[in-house]
Amino acid sequence: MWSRDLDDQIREALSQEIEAARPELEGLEERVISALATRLAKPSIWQRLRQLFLPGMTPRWAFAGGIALALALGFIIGRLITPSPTPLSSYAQAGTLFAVVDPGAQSVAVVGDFSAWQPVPLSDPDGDGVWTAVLNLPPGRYEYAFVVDGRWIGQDPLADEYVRSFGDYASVRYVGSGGGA
Amino acid sequence: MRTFLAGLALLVVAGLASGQVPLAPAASPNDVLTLLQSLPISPELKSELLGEVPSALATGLLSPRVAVPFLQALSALPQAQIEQTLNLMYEALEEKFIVDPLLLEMLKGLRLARSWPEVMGTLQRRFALLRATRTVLQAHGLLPMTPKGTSPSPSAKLISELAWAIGDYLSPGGSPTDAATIESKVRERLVRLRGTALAPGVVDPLIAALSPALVQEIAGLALNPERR
Repeated sequence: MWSRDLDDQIREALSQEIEAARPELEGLEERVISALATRLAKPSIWQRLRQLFLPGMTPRWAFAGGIALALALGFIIGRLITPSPTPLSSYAQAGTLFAVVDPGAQSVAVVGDFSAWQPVPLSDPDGDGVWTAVLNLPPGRYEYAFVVDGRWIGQDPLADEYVRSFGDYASVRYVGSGGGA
Repeated sequence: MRTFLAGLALLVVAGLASGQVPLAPAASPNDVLTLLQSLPISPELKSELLGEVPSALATGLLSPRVAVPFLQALSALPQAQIEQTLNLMYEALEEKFIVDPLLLEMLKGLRLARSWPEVMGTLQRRFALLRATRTVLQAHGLLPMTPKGTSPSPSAKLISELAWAIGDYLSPGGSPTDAATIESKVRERLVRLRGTALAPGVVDPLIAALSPALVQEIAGLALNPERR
């Protein structure tokens, strides 16, 4: 009995609350649809950026552009982080390349008339035994030799010719129109 | 200070970017004269040199880039050797030869730690070749006219290159009678220098007139200067 009375009381209370809230529920559906429509009409940040930079671009072109941008970024980052051997031709464009291959050497320098026979150090930053220096020499004929750990190396395979004085060989390069770089 | 540091950083970055090794910083004519003043040589020789060197520096017969390391190397030698070398340099300057190659030859000999008699003997042979080359080219009418304001003069350049080419053959013991070989080597060198160290208008008449007899005449005169 007690339980039945309680059920009735709950039903009555709920119907009173519904009746009381009925004015607020009037037109609820229309209000929800209207609110959703307003939210959809406001463009997102991406939509706003797209409108700003790519007005009128179709999604297909936007996708293609995105792929191209990603490839370009990947290429640039790859070039920056991947060590790659520098081709000799690019050295030649930058100046006159002097190179010695000697993995066991501790110090390598080039001496020549361009430096008044004072040593100009070659470097091997990656430790692969290829020592190089690129010098900016004006066109002309240059006599030189390498000094590897104090030893005079007068015959460079890259030389245009060799001369011999004071009992030792020296290499010669012609820089400019007359010979190779 | 901030600007200086920024400039320095920019230079370092530019240097790294270009990948080039810089040669020694450029010396000035004043550096040459200061070094010359400091050398322990007789006042007479010093005075003669100080009269000749400024005009040599101005006309390109002597360049600070070569003269400064040369004088620095000389300062480590005994006074007699310094004076012997500077006397030869003075004579060469008086005769309006380009002296840079002579000084470089001495620096090369010192770099190779050769004995003093060997270094001096080589310099004297080179000087004799310069004189002989000029004498023979003059005699054959092969020296170009020197336009005013051109320095160093085209004829001085031509003499220098020809004398050095012949000397490079004779220096390691090449025979002066091997005229055809000398002529071929000299011709090849002049052709390679055409358009760079030597202007075509200056070197072309010499290339056209070059012959084994001509180079043999120069070599013979250099080795037997009494024939002049």
